[in-house]
Amino acid sequence: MKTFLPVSGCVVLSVSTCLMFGQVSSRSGAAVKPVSTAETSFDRDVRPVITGTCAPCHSAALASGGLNLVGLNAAATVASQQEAWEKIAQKLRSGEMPPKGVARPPQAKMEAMYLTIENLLDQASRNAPKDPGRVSVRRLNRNEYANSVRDLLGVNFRAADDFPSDDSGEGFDNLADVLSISPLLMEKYMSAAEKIAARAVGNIQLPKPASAAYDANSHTLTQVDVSTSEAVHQVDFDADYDVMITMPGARPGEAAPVDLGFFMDGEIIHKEKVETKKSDLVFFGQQSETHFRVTLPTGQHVFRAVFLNDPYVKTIAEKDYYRGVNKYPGTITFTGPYASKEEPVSRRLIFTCDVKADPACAQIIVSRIARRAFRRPVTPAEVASLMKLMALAKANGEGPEQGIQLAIQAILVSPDFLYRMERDPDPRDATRIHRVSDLELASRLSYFLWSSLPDEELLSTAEKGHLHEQAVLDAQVKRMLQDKRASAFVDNFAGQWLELRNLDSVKPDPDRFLVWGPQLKNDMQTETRLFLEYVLRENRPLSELLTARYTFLNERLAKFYDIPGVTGSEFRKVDLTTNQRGGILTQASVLTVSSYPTRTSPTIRGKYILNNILGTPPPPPPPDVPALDASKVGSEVSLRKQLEEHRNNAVCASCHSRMDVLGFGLENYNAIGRWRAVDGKFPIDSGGTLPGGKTFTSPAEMKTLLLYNMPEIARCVTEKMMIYALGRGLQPFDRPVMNQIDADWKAKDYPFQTLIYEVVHSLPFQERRGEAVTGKPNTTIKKESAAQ
Amino acid sequence: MIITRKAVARRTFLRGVGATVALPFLDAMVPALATAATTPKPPVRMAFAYVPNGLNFKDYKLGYEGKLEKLSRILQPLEPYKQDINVLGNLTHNAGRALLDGPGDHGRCSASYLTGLQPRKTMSDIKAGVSFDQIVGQHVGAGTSFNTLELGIEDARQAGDCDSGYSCAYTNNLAWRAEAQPLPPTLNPRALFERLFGDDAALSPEARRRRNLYRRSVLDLVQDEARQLSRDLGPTDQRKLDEYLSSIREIELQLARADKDSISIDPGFEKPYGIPADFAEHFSLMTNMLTVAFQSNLTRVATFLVTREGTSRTYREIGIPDGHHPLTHHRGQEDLVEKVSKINVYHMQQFATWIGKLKAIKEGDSTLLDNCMIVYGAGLADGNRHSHEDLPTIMAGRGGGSFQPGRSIVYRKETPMCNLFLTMMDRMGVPTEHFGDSSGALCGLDGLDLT
Amino acid sequence: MQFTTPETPLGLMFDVNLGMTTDSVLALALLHGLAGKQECRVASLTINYPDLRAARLCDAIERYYASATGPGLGGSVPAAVPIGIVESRKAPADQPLLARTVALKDGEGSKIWASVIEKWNDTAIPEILIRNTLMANFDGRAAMVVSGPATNLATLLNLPDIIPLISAKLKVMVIADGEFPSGKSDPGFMSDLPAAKRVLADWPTPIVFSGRELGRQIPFPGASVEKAFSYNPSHPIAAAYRAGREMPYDAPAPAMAAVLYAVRRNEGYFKLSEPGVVSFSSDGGTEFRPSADGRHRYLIADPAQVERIAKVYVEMASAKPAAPPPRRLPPALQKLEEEKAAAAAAKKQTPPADPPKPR
Repeated sequence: MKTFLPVSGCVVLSVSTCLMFGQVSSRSGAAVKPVSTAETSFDRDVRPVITGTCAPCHSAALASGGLNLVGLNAAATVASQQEAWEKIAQKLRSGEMPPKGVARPPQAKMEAMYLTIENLLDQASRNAPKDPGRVSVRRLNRNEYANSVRDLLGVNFRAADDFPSDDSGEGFDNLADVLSISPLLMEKYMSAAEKIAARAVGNIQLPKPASAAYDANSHTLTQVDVSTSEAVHQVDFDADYDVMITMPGARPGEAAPVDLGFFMDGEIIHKEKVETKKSDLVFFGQQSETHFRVTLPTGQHVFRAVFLNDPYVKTIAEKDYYRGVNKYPGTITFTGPYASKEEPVSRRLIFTCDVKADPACAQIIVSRIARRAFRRPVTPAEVASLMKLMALAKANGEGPEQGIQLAIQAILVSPDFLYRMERDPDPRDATRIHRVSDLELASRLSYFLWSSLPDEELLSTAEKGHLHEQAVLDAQVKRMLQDKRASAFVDNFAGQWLELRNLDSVKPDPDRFLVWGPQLKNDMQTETRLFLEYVLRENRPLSELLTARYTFLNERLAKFYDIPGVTGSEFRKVDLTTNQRGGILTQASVLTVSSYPTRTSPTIRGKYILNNILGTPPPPPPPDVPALDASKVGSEVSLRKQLEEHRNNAVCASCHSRMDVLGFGLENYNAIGRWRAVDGKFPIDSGGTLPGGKTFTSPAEMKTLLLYNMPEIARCVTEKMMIYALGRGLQPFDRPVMNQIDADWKAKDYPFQTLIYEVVHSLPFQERRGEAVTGKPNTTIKKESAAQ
Repeated sequence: MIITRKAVARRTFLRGVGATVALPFLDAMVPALATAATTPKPPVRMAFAYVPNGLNFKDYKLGYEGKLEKLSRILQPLEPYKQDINVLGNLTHNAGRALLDGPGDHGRCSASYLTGLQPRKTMSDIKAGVSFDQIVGQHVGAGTSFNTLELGIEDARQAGDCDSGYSCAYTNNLAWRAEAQPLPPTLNPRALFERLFGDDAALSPEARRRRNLYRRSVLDLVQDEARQLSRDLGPTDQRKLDEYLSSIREIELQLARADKDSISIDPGFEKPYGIPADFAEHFSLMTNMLTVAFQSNLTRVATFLVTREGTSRTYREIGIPDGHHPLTHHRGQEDLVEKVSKINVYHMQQFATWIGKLKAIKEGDSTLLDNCMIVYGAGLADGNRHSHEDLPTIMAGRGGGSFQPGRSIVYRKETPMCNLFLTMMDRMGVPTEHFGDSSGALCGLDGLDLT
Repeated sequence: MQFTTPETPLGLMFDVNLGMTTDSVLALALLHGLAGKQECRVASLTINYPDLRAARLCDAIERYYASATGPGLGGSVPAAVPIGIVESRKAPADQPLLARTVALKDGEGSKIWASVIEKWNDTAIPEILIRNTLMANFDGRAAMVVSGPATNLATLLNLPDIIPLISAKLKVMVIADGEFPSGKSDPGFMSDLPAAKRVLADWPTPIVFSGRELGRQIPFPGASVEKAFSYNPSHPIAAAYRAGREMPYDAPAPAMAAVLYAVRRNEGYFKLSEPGVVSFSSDGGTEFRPSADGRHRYLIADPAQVERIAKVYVEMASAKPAAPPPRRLPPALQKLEEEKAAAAAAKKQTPPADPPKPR
């Protein structure tokens, strides 16, 4: 029945009015107007429309869309056949039904019917026994693993390089049911544990230094732009490396020096002034170079040499960029590894006492690390078996540090570390509901807000058994939200909810979008990340996601947005003076992930809004949907014209009328989010009329109209966050909880943090139950295992 | 004169060849004075190369049966290997069809392709079936380092739903070790290289021995923990823990094998760096390593998810900036259809190159290709119509001599694809009565005329 | 997964000796008549004797109904549903009626029997086709009618895990053959005796028999043919009927009765015998032994209904091909679609998107 939950999990449980109703005083589940009696209101508001309008198609014989209304003829059936009614409610809310071409009853009637069905559904779920649901054992995903290792040992391990990517469901990659372990992954865990443990105790013997050079001629280096060269380099040891950057050309006369920045994975790790005038190096052509030593972490990284805010290049013609009159960063050469001077953080974290001198020390260290890693007190037995490894190392002629290294290695592949396990008094009794232990609650919290394991304070609070007390709990949430680790919440929750991660996989056509490049991409990501982090940390109201009058920009992105007065590569909060931009829907990141490589797609953008903002996803398209003729777009016919024709096709109409109109509202932004007034040779028409009849003429106006749908928007965010926090898809039995949150959050007018508290306080987050043991037969033929 | 009767041990031999590729079945390894009769018969290997979104049928279909004459446009790249392939028609995957599950043909056809089972339509509690390559791997893997290898080229999709309510797990993976346990393909050539040939070439034998000793004791320890934990758990949690335990056991086996034959094979080429931007280069890196893995008996079973069902990957290198999947829904629009064919041909060219490599390698008096069953297949026939019958299927190789390639074989309609699997299982020495929705082994591959 | 719709039209699977008897062709026509009224769907067609000409005949009739149903499916002959037929490399036994039928050359003859089927691999493996069709139907929403040898059913029973599938999906199973309560007739169902015995022994659901005697008591009135099918001078069904015997003649119709009963069980057309057990002998003998726990029954003609039934036969078997039921669209949208398709078709004659077929 889970399978009945539509795409994005955002729909089934949604209980408020929608676009089709335009600006109706919306209601949320708890605040339902009490119905006289179920029967009478059903007979008054529902049955007439069902029999009059719906039944002809959804009849015994036709059963259009696989729905047959015969038998759904009494209020009682709402409770008995919830799934069917949930679907009906959804179709009504989305305005998909009744479809174009079928006589539609007056709006008031439709609305009354919809509200009644919702009421009955709410009653049904209110009367249903409370059910927190159940989350199965959860494997740490790549991010959680990396963060946990970082917080446990101070080792920066890039799981994304080594581990296969985690499968995702419901749009998130932290779902218990989907995360599995394969032998391949287990192998990876084993060797990762070895590497990490060795790095943690600093037990690595470095080979002789070697050099790796990256230059444009051998195509190992990318000249991103005139001020930037980029190379992807695999660092094999945590150690120091000599970096040499050669800069071809020279600038005339007493040219001023320029700031050279050296970036690793988008973060600056070295900065120095370099001369740009003639150097005295003897070459056939002019060139100069600079050396510096940096400490690099293992893994594959993207390195960039960049001339930061360099006024000179703006003064010369593009044709001269790579000629004699200019100097620019070129070849990058790494030489290393060299032993790092400063003691790594990890050693300071681990060796809190002297293992060589103090015999008791090793055990102290091992049990402390195990406790943090397992997120619970460890038993003497567990410590003992870990100490056995110490002995083994000793027996093999290795010192106590290697012994601890081996113990850490074991801890990192232990199921207690890799899995988040929660216990039930009776795991096979679905009726047995109980609150999760304080320790389990602590892990739920830390992986929800930090994507990492609990820190000392959270852990000890849980151990003392106070965490479930609301005051204590709230205090911890407050503290955790202030902590910088909370940015993981933005990256992982928002990154997936708003599909920002797809920015790394989209490939806008470089021939069409010359400005597109890795840096612009990073800037887009950074803008949205900083923006969301601000909304979160400053506890801004949800509505600002759509309508904020500020954003976060650096010079490059500001130029891209045609916003003056922002200089330098650092991001800062910028107040917006025009209404061209404002809110995530007008941020380049979102606009880019919702476009094709070659052009915008109002359909995709509309679908994006329905899926991720309003939470009313359209049904999947039928096979053999007509494709648009990309070549024609913007040349012979305007995209809008084409889509409108496309929409005359009745099959497409029922959904596209909903999607496209929203997408058209964003047509002023091209496929990488740049503002435009014309597309090809056609002026942009970003006006439209929502199914409710409300019309808009610009992106700004559309956003304002969207605000009428705060209840859906809030509900959508709530459901997404709930799925992310619980690590499971939502079920019909979650409806009362969602309604409750709707009501409470609305009452407070949707401050962002409040939702987090609501989720943390909610039944499914705090409690769980056993699992119903069922043997659901599968109509397909069972496959047998091989002979003998 | 003296004839030493000592045969060269494979290990020392491999050391001997140094940088050159190891040839485990080279005649040099046959005991001195041995007759041809005692030459070890090379094992049969099998692999699947899966391409998504169907093919452009009018450019794929041959339209005739029997001896391969003129090849269709998409098959053209295989012209030099005409005598090494059979082109199979009318094979059908009923489990890929909607049956009662509505839209989602891409998710379904990819998850059912090797499992022969219709996957559960869900985005969270995934369920398909054990794929037949895994069954074969478990039976023939004993003498090798890896029961099976899973390769891919396209990085798994980051976020969002993958097909009409089917979890991305269904389209990101081809091989399924258990009904809820897909095996993610290795995408990074470097990672594959290290997995196959070891990232520890530097380690001294002593250091390696100690590492394996440590690994084993660590595994013992965590295994006990896992066993204790798995007491009083719900069914699902139980299953998760079993996944963990069975994976641990798998690695213990690998360790055991590593102890027996503790040298790493030198593939004869540089360790690749990162993921190449160029599709063709990535394809050849992966297939090169797979070839060596077959050749040096590191594995006998592999699945290669060329790109993922429903992918919107672009192919600029051949002048196609549009997404593959959107293109396939062309509604017969000529320029789009043409682009689809271009992509289909481009894929086939890469495949043909690989076949060429396999054919170039001698194994005794046969070639590596002769001892392979390499299937090039798609889970959809016509990408525009989402049809699940007459799936494009090309069988390259002689399956150790039991196949007679060089023909176009059209089976009767509705013939289950699983019948082909059954035949392959048999050739791999894993005789099986029934798999998925099979109705019996597939005849004709051995040269029997069906017309 | 999706809503179980208890009232979705029954998916009828017809395993037929098409062309062996006029009845077999009429029954197929009746089936299409009822399907046209959305009372059932033609779920699968399998032919149970190895003669490719029968498959061609079937294909031709299917294409007649499909193409005549207009633009609903894109204005062209749809990608033909595969037709299953039991395969044999041996030369088929002589089938005088079939031969006469497909040999028609008069007037439209050659056009009537146009078919894409030329080789065995243009047809489907019958038991697999039946199995796959069962899987595509809701539980208890499939029906099966058998006229002719039990061959295909027996091979079906050989498939693994098939029994639970049949029991889950099949609502009604009707076999058109036998003499009841007992008697002799030329072998049909039991002409493949081992198969027939296997089916009677292992078939998991109850079976209703439509006997020859019933077929004789309520034949298809031959007199009506010329008038009923007059709307199409080259109507394949009429053509087949004429080829059957010296016109006019009344064709005994046990298969028609079987189809009618399977689709309209609640119309009270027929009486049902008490439960019992049917046994066959190779010489065409049928024996019905009543027994409380028997899973077999047979249809009994109700004199009061004979006339009514004959009328239904004529009306339904000669019904004009109807547009197919909307696949995913309610009628209103369907109409829009059809208008579009029609308009499009009018604009330019696009060649039908025929399935790729070995030439």
